[in-house]
Amino acid sequence: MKISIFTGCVIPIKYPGMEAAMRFLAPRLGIELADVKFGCCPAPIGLKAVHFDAWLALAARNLCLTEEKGLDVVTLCSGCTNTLRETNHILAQDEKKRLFVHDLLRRLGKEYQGSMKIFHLPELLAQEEILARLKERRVRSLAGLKVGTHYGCHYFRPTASMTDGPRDPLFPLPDSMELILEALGAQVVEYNRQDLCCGAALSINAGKSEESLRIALEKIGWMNEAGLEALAVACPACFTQFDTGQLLLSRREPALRTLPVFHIAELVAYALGAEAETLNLKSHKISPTALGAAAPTVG
Amino acid sequence: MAKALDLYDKEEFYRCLQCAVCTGSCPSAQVVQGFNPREIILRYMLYGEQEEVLRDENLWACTTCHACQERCPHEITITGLLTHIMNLAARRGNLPRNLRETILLMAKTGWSVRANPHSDKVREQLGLKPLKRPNSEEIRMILREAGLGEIMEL
Repeated sequence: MKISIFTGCVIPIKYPGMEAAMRFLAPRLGIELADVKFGCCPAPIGLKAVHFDAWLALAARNLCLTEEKGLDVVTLCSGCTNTLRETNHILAQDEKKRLFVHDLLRRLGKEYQGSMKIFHLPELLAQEEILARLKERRVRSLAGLKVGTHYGCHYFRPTASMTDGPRDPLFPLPDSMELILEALGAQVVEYNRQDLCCGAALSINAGKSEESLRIALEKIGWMNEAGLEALAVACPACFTQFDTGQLLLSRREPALRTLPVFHIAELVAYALGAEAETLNLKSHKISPTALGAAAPTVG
Repeated sequence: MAKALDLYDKEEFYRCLQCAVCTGSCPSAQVVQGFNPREIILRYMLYGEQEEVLRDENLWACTTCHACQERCPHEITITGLLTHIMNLAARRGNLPRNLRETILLMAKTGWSVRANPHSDKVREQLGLKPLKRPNSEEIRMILREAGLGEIMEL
């Protein structure tokens, strides 16, 4: 399978270890990555809130770039997934918007058709065939590790455009990361208010870092209560919120029990044999010692 | 000016019962004094206090998590309305500095995060290829043509 990789802006610049994880795991799972000169997605919490049409047109440009190569696209970020998928959805449904975007892109010699599929990494990996390969090729097991997931709101809301089929509005979460973590041998643990937003946008957009941290603190509290030893995320903004956020919170509250945070790509790459250095795990603010317990699988 | 609302059915907002499921579901309402999606619908749609709402800096506390919209018993596109309101507020100069700077950076470089020598070095150490710069000229042209110039100088 050949697919374009949409790294977004945050990962290649701020968390290149996550990109390294992706490039490590892909060939081992039969995925060939094509590099395309994508720009910013642009962010659903950023440009979309400021200028909807500019957001839509810029996202459509990115979609054109993968469409020109005849490839589907995989992202590493819930925000990027949301922007690309929502744009595809809007352009398929709304004729006025479609004409506006067509007209604008035509002047750049681009034509948007909407033929590509947009995957978020966890749902690409949670396909049966790839999960089977993952189980077969992993050299480390996460057995005994109690992991919970935080998907990032934009991966699954609004459900009308982000999910296939109906979902319970009171528990709208996907299960792709659970499927992957189980394939890695980890023990998946649920926690209270699991679908609550991480709160990152409050500090990124409005500069309300105190308020933003209070949301993170609530989630950390529920995670601790459920006995999580590690958290898996699918979004670099959520990662910052929990990783850097816990560091900031623990400076104020030394008694806070912190837990390491991982991008799902890091956990998969680690299970496939990547070393901590390859993944730049030392850049994590909360020391990822939980992985030390992961025992090598025999055979 | 009202382009963003094209996507949303205006009438639906008048079905709001003021039940406050939206506010009860809102992460920001929990922690930001003075931010409350139910009240925004009441003031903006029903009381007609549009000018006041558009000047309210707390609007930007919305994380666009869509929890309100998903849980609304009348399926009102609340996040859609908030997005529309934020779009209009930005045109009137009510736009947080952080957000303005991020968008200007994107218009300049194509990315919302500033590339820096440290990240280049780490990428090299990890065996990753140097960053491929996007075509920022094309990106700026799209932003201008779409009308972002109404909000900031590009």
